[in-house]
Amino acid sequence: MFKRVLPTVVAMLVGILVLLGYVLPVESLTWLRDIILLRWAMVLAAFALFVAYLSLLRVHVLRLTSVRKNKFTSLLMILSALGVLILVLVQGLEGPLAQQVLTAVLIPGESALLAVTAVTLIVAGMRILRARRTAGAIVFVVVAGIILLTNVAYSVYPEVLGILRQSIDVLATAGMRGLVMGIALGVTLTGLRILLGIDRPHSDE
Amino acid sequence: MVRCPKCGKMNQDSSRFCNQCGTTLPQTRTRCPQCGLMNPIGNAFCSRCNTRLHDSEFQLPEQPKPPEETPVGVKGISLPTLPVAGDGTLETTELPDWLLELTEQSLETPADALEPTLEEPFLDWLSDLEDDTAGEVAGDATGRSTADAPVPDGVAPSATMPDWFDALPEEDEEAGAAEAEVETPSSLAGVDDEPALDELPDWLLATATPTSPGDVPSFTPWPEWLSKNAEEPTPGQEETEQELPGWLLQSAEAPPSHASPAAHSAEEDAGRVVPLPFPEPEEEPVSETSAPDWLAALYPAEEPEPQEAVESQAGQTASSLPDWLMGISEEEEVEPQAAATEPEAETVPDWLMGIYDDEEVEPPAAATEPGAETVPDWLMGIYDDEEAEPPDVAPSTEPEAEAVLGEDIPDWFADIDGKVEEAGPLAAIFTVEPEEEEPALEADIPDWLAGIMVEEPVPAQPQTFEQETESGQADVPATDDIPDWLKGMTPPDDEAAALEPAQSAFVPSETLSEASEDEAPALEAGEIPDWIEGLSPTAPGAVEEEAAFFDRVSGDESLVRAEVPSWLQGLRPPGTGPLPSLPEVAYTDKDQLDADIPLPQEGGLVRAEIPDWVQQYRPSADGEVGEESFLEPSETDGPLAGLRGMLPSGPLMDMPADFEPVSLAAKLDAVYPESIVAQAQLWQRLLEQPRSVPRPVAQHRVRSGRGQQAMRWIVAVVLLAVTALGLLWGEAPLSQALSRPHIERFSRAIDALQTGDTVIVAVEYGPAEAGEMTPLARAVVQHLADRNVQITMVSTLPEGAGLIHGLLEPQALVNHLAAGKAAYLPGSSSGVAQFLSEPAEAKMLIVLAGRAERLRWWVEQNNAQSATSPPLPVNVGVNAATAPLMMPYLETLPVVGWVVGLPDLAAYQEFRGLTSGALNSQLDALMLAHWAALALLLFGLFYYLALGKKGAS
Repeated sequence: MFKRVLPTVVAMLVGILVLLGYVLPVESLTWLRDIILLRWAMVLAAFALFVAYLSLLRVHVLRLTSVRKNKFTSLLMILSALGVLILVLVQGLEGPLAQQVLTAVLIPGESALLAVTAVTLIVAGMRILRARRTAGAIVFVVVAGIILLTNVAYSVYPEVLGILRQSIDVLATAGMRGLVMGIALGVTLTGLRILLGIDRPHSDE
Repeated sequence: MVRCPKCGKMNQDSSRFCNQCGTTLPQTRTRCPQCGLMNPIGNAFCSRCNTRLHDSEFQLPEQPKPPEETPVGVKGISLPTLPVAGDGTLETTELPDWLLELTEQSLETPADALEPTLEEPFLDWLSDLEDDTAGEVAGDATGRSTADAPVPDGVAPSATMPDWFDALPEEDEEAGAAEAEVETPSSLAGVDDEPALDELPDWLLATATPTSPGDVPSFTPWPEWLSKNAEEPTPGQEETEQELPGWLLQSAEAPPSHASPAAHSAEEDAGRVVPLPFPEPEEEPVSETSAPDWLAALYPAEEPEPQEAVESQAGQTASSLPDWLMGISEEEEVEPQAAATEPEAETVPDWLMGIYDDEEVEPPAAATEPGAETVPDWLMGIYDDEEAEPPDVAPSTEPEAEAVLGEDIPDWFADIDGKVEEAGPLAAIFTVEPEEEEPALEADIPDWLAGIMVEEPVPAQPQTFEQETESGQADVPATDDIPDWLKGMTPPDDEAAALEPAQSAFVPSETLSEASEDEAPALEAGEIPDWIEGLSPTAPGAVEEEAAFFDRVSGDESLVRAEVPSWLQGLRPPGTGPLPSLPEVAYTDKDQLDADIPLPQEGGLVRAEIPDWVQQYRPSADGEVGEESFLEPSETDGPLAGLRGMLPSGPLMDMPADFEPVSLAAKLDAVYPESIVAQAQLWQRLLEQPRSVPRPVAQHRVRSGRGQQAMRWIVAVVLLAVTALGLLWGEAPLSQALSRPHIERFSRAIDALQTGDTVIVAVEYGPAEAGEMTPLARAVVQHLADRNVQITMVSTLPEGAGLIHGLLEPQALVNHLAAGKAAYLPGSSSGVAQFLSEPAEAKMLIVLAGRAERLRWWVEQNNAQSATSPPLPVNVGVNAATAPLMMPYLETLPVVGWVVGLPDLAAYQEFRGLTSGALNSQLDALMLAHWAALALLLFGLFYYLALGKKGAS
């Protein structure tokens, strides 16, 4: 019961109260939503982040004890996690070492991964006709070329490129509007299903 | 254990191949796919893990049903046990066809006709005896001459009686007038109608066939010596040449101590006496309605005279009797003429001598004496189960027999009647005596007929008749002891000598020899022996009497057990053991058949010769194995022995975990290539591994081709080169910043802020977007600092908190940071909503988002606060990848303005009147990289278009 019924009941009750707080201009509902429920959610989210951190450490520690490969990466992971934790706890986020780790390790590393993604996308674009010999592939390449060409205005013919870019933006915006509307409808329907107890993502079913 | 279908070696259940010959064995176990346990093939679920082993539709192979036992019939009866219906009639569900026909005909006859008409079928062949006897007619039970006897339908009166039967002495005519009730066993109830001639069995029809024109038809199956004067059988009856039943023939073996029929050899057959010698058929058939006296004497309780008893059986047609009974009339070729010509031969013919002795033996002289006081040894054996001394019995019954049967009845016949008197009409017929040595045989042969056959071996008399004959110590009956009717069956000397070795005839037992010493009543020509006439089934509904009769007869020691013919063995009653198998008699001499020589018989049947074209299809277990592969072994047992390519009895299952494969390299190489063999052996090793041990999983790496790797290197090098070129370009900028309205609004919104206003800056980008977003963030923060506003910097990303402090490196910016307002907001959208719900003095919200969802949260939650307070104006700074996704949000209120990536940053800076050389270089490098990427895309497009499909693949 506590795994199946209680979570569903709590989810339904909280969702109805929060929704009523947005719909009905009742101060108590607003107070309940903003002070009680949202703060509880923030505390639980922070605690969940801390638990995720501990679970990550546990997984990698188990990998060290098991007979498996890639033990060095697990060890490196554990050391870095513990080291940064200790460093931030000691110096804080504004500490020089923490900032050094952020600016020298995290930012370059993730930027490099993003750059490799760019190269991979270009190579894939070059081989798109090898995989699919369709009109859509050709249109894709043409549109990608226009965007690449007009992203940074060329100083020679900026007006032409400007017009071309605006047309592309209109098409992109139209497409995105449709996607966003679909996302909104889905979110609304999912919320209603949770409020009505049809979907029970919180229970152990 | 699993038996190899090829070599028969027993292998373990887990063996897949025979350890001896390498043949694939049928699997008897099923491997569980879950735990690997080997379960019996019949299990639907695993015994360990309860995993379903077979589909729901899977069905186990049907086990062979045990042979159903025959229903229990009458106890002790030797004949096939037939179920009796409620009305006392036979249940014809399992009756043979010939018997069914007889039954149907018998049911159609009126009640009067239900009387045993035993003599009628016999009359056919018995009537022949009249023709060859010296005016004597065998007669029926009533004693009437065969000429006066009613002829069965379809049978000529004068052409139905065998000659030897005619030689039988006349019965008392008065006895034939009465019809006594005859006990009829229930098995033969209702089977008393005379069938039509065409419905008679072939072997019986053959007996009714006239052998010579104008003469009484002789029976074609008779041997030539027996049917010397027999004419050629009619065409219709030529086909019916059949031999005497084996049980009848085997009575020719040694009487008291003869071995089992299976032990008889061909040589022993020579010592056999011909079957019951039938006198030559008389011209006048025997009366239909009257049974011979000798036969009627079998039923003294029902009638004053045995003839009457026999006559009562006359109502029943011979066809109502089973074949084995009627087969009495169908012996080997009989020479009725020869028998007729010598009805009262003083000397025993040579052929008859063979009965007693393989060597020349003088025929018994007492055969002509009609009133023989002694019963023949071979006949005395009918009553003697334990082979008591026939002489002890015969004398006591002789007087009675003579009184009943008359002086013309041979003594050996008379004794039979005396024995049967007490037992009942059919007691002699259906006697089943519990034989100690061979109860099965005794239970299957009626007593009256058993007397014809040789006695069962008795410990008291270990010597067989043949042995006795060989040693010359046999009690060869004197010539006088041989009944007249037997004398009449004397063949010519030359024929007898030639046929002796091949003849299978009855060997008179000691009783016969002893009885022959006495004055055996000789039968007149044409006279049916009483013991034959008494072979009529009892009336229906006499089961109790039959049982009583059996009991009486079973105690009679003088009865001889006959041997059950092979065709009758399958119908034995339950509780009786199987009869010994018949010895194989192979015919190798076709001339033997052509010469009408009596063929060796086994159990009353003649072994047929398999044609050569059929012999070719005979499967042989020892056949060639050269062409046989180990995948198609030949069956070695069962009905499919010798056949190849048979599927195993059980479905092939997976190999057991503990299976150790036998080296089959030599055999497999001859059939399969090495690569396949290696794969099979690999599978075996993989399956042998226990499931408990985790199997190593192969690390599959998807490696791209060399061309793709080269292309990547090329693209990377080109992009790096172009980027470096743009950064190092010192000339005039190649790119141009274009000012757009949203950029201007963005700038003007910040300029509208007053000193001391609080602005919330949400840093929602990570380290990956930091390269593009950090310059924008710094420019915005700097702009805010220039406006002397209080900045509250928050982030919903953990790393965002660190990036905020990087933005505030300049100490001046730190001063503008509100105390305690640089924090991390957990809880995603809930945290944003909670943060915005707190009463704050913020005038603007600036969201610097590198990810679309983060921006959505801020925009949505900001709009959700409209119920309590108006939403904050929002300025948005996004990267080039997020802008198209967030464009619907950017063009809605309350978003004021937005800046997208480096190009808009340059325009924003230019709008504010700020220029930066580093920013222009970065912009040039960005433009050149974009153009290089475009060029590479176009190159690939045109390259693969030019190659076509084949070149592209």
